[in-house]
Amino acid sequence: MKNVYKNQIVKCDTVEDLLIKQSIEILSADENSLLENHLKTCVHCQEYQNQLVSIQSSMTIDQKSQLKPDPAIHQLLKQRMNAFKPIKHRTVDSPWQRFRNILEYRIPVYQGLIGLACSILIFVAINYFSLSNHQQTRSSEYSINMADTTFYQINVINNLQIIEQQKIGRNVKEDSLLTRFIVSSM
Amino acid sequence: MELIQQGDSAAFDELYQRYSQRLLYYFYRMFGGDVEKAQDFLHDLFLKIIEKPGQFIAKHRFTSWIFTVAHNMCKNEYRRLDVRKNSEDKLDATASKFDYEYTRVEKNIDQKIFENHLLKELTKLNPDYQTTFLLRFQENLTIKEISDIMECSEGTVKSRLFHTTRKLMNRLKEFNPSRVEA
Ligand SMILES: [Zn+2]
Repeated sequence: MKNVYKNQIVKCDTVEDLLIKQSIEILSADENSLLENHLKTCVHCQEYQNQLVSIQSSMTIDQKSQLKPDPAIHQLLKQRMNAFKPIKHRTVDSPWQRFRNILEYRIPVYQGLIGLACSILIFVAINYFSLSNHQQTRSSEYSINMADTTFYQINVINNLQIIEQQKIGRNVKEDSLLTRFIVSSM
Repeated sequence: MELIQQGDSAAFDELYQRYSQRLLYYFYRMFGGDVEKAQDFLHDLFLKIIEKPGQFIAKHRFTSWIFTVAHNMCKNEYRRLDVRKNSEDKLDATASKFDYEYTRVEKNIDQKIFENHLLKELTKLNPDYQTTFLLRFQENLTIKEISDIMECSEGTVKSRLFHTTRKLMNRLKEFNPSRVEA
């Protein structure tokens, strides 16, 4: 770069490019001195420089400009923000109120869960209080299958069979209750 | 920005005060002087901030982030309108929307005409070039910051600035209000 511009007549095109380059980044010392020397005498390039400055400076935002954001936009955004972020400082609700709040949720997760829990409770209750003969057999089979696995379980099942042979219960229902109790405590 | 994520409305107000006019100008200049569209885009951009504040990555400077979002909005809109494929007539029509009343009030009419032609010429350029030019000379950002926003090298930013400036200079020769015939 050092000798490129020395002792040669610089064309205005080159200076124009240098002027643009100068507005974007820092020029080398040689480029700067070339520009300064050329601009001293060339009216065309002086004009070019003026126009360049006016183009670039007209991009800055004038605070007096009448182009302002519509005040309605700010209002709309604030409303949206308040709707989006509800106020956190609420009084502490009573447990009953909290429960009601949960039930008021739009997403029916809690209702579903409560429904499921109720169904399980009802199912267990029905099974517990009204076991038929068929169910008793099935539960015995089930306990035998379970008993295959461990030594302790086999022991318990043997005991259970003894108890069954001795007919410890007064009727089928009582027998089944006792069987369930033994199996569940394994 | 973190405060906004927590729903702090005072923080939002400050952010709005600081950026709304700059972004309005950006959209106004990107959309050929369409004030209504610029206002709509300003609204939509801040709505994004309210509704999805998690999109902001704290390691970035907020200015960079918000102008990245704004630029992407413009590019999507350009794509939607397919402006680039349209004829110069369409561009002339949009560019004519630049309104004298929105330019600097204290300037004389020649300067206003000059500025309107400048903005009209700017909208004829590729949106990447437009944004690069506006970020440099409207927002006064550094080459490095612009390269982060535009996701390109600093060399590309410099070259875009150079070509945009030269194109504008060539097209606006006859509109220089202070021009003296040599
Ligand atoms: Zn010259």
